[in-house]
Amino acid sequence: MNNDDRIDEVVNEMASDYNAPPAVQRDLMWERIQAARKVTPLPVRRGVPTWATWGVGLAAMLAIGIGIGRMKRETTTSPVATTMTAPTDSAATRVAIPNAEVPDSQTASQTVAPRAKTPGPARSDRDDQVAVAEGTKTPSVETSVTAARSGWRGNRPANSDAAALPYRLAALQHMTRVEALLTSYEAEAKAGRQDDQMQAWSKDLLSTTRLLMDSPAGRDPKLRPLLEDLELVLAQIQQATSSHGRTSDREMVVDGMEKRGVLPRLRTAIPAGPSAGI
Amino acid sequence: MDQHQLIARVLAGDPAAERQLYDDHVDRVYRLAFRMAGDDDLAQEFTQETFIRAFSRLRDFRGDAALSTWLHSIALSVCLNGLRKSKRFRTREVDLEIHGAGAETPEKRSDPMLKQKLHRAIDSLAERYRVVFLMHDVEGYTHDEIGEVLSVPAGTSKARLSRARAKLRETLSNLAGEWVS
Repeated sequence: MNNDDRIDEVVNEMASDYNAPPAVQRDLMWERIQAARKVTPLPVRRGVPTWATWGVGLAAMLAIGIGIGRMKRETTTSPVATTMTAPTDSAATRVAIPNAEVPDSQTASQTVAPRAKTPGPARSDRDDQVAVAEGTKTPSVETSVTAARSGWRGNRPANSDAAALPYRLAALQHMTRVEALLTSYEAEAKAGRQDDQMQAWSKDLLSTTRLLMDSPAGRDPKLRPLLEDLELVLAQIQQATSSHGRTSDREMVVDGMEKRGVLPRLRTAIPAGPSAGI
Repeated sequence: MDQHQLIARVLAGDPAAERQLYDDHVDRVYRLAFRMAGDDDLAQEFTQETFIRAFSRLRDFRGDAALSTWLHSIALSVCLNGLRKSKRFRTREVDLEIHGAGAETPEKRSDPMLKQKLHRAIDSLAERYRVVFLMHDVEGYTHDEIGEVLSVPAGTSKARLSRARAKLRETLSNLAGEWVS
């Protein structure tokens, strides 16, 4: 046996102690997993579009916002400009509602929405938005191209934007909760106090942040940097509020938040009013 | 119940099936997370995050690989991303030559010291080598499993392991004479 083999033997023998894991706390972790999943429940095959399970509230907000947009369009000569921007990834259109049926091929003159009674891109575009609100079908990108060619003026939401709306709304709701935690944490840390609930709270919000980063909302070039910073801050808060946390750790977290301007950016991203995110 | 039946029941919303899926895989996922992180809080967080993501994406699992492979792929991604974020807990790569791997006098060498040096040497490995070393030599994954988890050929896993071992030998080689005599 040469030296290399002998060293390999020693290495393998001693490496078994490298970061040797303790007993697995199965039940504790399961409880936390279940608690986090209550925010984003497992999709269930019930013939209902997957994202409809996110909550009636999100669908209601979307329907109200689109309804307001339709009313304004009907009562004004020019379309109402919206603040929505098309997502950079058109694939987001296709994955917004996983159970939705997306036709295999599309032509510029074809309408996708099943409820469109009269041909015409503008009408089909409106019906597409209704379809999204009702969660029946996902309009394709080609339909939005058709609508654009109709000459409809104004910055109206593209179909891909409508499909990504539930994700953005969820992101905005989530950021509201994160703002609440960060504001509380900053106040507690500056007062030299530590709330024992912060660790569990930050863990839950961290899990949701990471899920949003993996969703179409995470592909939004405006949201992504903020979500990444939130992920980092929440992970740091979690560490600082653990049993090993020290005052200096909490101060470091607050300093980092202030340097990166997390709270001001968060509050800017959360618009006020009932049409937030639409 | 086979894998496909279990997944079907989980997707149908069966809580017992969800728990069974978790119980079947949590030990190995947690062990991998702990080996990577070296910290119980982090390992638990990574494990929890792995299963949260897995349950949310289970519908997308095509079944062309083993469920365990898919889960470990998610776990590894979560661990590596999480460790990059938690910079405080990352052990910086150190130049063991500078830190005296060869400067120890024989009187100061002992098994605990040797083990500590080895652990530091493992810490200092580049991520791609450390992952393969921990999965294969420490946790017992096969090269085929590692290849599927990392989405690389099994040959690449072998090459990386070989490289990892070579680096560990190189770093500790000045002590080899005393160990094996």
